[in-house]
Amino acid sequence: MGLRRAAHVAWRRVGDETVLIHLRSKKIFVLNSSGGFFWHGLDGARGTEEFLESLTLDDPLPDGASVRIEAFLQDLRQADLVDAGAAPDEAPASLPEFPLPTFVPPELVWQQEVRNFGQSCAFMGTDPPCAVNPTT
Amino acid sequence: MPEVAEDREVSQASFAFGEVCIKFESADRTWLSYLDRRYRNFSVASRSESFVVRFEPTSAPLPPSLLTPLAAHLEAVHCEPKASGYRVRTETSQCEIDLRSRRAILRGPSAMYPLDNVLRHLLPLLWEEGLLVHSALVADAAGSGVLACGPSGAGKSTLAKLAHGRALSDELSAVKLEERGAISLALPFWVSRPGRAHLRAILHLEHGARHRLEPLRPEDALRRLATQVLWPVWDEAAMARSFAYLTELAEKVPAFDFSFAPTEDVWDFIDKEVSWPSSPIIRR
Repeated sequence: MGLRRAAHVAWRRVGDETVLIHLRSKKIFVLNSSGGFFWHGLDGARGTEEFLESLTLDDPLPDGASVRIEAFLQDLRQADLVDAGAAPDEAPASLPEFPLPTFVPPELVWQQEVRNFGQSCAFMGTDPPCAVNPTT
Repeated sequence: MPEVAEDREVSQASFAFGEVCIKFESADRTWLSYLDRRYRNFSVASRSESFVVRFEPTSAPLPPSLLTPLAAHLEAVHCEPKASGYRVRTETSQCEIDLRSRRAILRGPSAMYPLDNVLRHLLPLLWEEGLLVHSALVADAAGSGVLACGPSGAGKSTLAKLAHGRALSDELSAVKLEERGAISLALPFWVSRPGRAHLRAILHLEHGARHRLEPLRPEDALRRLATQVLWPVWDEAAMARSFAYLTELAEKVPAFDFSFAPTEDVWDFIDKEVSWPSSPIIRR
């Protein structure tokens, strides 16, 4: 059964990485370039086997590639970044070429919960962590 | 006509938070004087597009730990979506925000902290053109500027002080993207004055033994910047909008890790090392 990118996730490619934001949990996730390739292909029609078939690499796939892909998809599931179950409404979207000459495991390389006030002490007056408030 | 009598006593004050103008109304003139002490430099004439916050003091006593009515008192904030806005509650205050009519009614003890608790959520929602960033903003006479980001203690205020008259703010700045590039505007926190600058770089600060500037890839710039943004966490559409701005800023504005020693030559170093991008920044 395929997975699809969840509707509550916005995403953009930045440099070599793909950046996702879960709009409900307020978390940002960063995927490596390999992860970005698989993320792009998550249209509900593909699972691990379909992804493996789509890879055209200079070198043969290493042992354990499917395990690494499945682990990556599981990470996405656990982070509630993908939906499972529904059949795709449309034909699978075409995939770009794998961005690397050899297989690199897809990985979620960074995540961070974001907050309404970042790390700022603006609005916090004199209490810690603000050392100085010139208004008092 | 009690309502007319009440209105006659209501005073107003308007302040600019970047390009967001907020008009405060209250019969509590003491409360309005607190606003004036904090935001005086950013006082503006009321505009038709102003967002209006009406403050109605309640008889609830001030928290015992509050040193002065201007001091901080953080309370857990509960936010409930409404048809055209939000109802925001804390232990001692309540705020009804109507985004459609651009009005809010805030009720709480006569102190600044009820407003602080609302503003830290409201300002990122109202600033639809870009991001609010935990940063100092320093500009030069030609109107080009540098945003210096980092958590408390990273050196924002130190760097702003060392810029002498060039610093526009030392805690919080607004950023937006225009055709000609990224613009940053000073916000009234804390040592600040109104002003704006075309951004030529974003510096992510840390203290060091000497000045050292390391260019960042957009991917790394994004990770640094994401934690310094004030996110409009109540609103998914606003979160998506802010996310788009974040990625665009990370890609379009040169960013650096900057460790520095607090010496008088630090801005000479920055000005020499951080020049304008070789090509104009064009918004997509």
